[in-house]
Amino acid sequence: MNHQAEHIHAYLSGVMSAKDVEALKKEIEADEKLKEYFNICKELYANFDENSWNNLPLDQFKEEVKVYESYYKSDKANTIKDAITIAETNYFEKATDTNTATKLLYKVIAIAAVLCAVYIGYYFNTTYEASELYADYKDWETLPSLTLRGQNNEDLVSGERYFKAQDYDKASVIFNKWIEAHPETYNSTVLLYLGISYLEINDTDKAITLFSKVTNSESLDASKGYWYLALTYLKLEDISNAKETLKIITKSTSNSNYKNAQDLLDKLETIE
Amino acid sequence: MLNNEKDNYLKTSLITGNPKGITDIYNLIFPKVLRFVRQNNGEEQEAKDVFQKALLQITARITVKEFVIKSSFEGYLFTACKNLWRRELNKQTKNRVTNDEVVELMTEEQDLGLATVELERWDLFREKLQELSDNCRSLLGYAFQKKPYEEIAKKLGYNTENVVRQRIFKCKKRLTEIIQKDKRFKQLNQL
Repeated sequence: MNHQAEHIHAYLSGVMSAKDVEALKKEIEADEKLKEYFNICKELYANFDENSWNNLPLDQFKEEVKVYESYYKSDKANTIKDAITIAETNYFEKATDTNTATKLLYKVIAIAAVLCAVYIGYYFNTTYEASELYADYKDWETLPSLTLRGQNNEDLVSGERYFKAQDYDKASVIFNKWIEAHPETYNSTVLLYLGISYLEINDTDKAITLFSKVTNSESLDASKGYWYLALTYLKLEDISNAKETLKIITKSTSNSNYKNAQDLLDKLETIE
Repeated sequence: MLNNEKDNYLKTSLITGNPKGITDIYNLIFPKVLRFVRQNNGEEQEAKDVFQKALLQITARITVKEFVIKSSFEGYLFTACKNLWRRELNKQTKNRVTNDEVVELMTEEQDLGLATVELERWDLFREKLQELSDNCRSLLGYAFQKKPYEEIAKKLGYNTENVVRQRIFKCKKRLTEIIQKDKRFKQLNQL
């Protein structure tokens, strides 16, 4: 069992060759105890993976679900639902008022700032704000994982590990090697990982080339390419190109990062 | 108001259905949840749904099973929202990947009930993790974050990557065993 358990963990960690995976699957199918152990391990990995969730099968949890179902249908739960709806309405009405007040305040501050600048003959420096916004909006945690269980992708697993450990030099070498070894395969996520690695080590020309490649693809990730391209321009403090790129995302609400792009665009408008 | 008092006020407001107190919960936590959902391919409406469901889920667990929140109320609610959004994304991905035409039909209450059972199980896994030694917890923490063995060895003072690999395997095995032994754990036939 120890030996088999070790194999199961290797498989679920994505570090087993395709051939060994097939052999292990056969072993699991033939042994009930091993299957039980495999199922719990599989659940354990998904449970601790930030990008995953265990959707349980209803047919195996009918009794447990019924207890909560009765509660959700009860008068007591309905009273709480009503209270939540009232609270939500209150919150959004207040938020709208506050937004209007904040926008007015921003306008007053902006006018006062411009007047001050003109008065002392001093030009505004946007550097600090652009870098602040870049730091605020860069979030690599949202990238999908490259770990595909059961596939022989050790290079990508290792590249992702270096990426997560913020060793972008090593990550970029590994991703580059993988792309060269798979000239026929187009994988937009790998391109994004590589582009961001370059962005982090300030090789922005290469980052721009890679993100542009993603934007030109037919994949669903094309709009993601625009988002990372915009972040690259933001890092370069090229506000004009950042804005132009964000405007492409905001053309359609179905684009990835639509809301973030809209928010960032609004903030950039206050810089220039 | 002290943190403890604030926590009690928020929790009591929710269980008793006090709109003023629940509005305070929105003021305090909703912006954070909205930001998280937007960063993960969601919209404001979806953040609103997740928030409502998480609030209801907490009342259900406290009312039905006298569940005790061990961390802060704010932290627990945020985690519940994150989990519900991950659950939603996972369902969407599964439907897309399998292109499943036969979607299991569930009432809204049934689906929320199932989500609550899933959250209960998620909590159980984390509770069991606390039963491991500090060293095992640190090792597993790094392993589940997919940190390279080389880095873990340096951080925790191990001589070789191989020792780290063996230790992680033993800790995972131990965790699996103590989960299986817990009487609240129900073995799945298939996930």
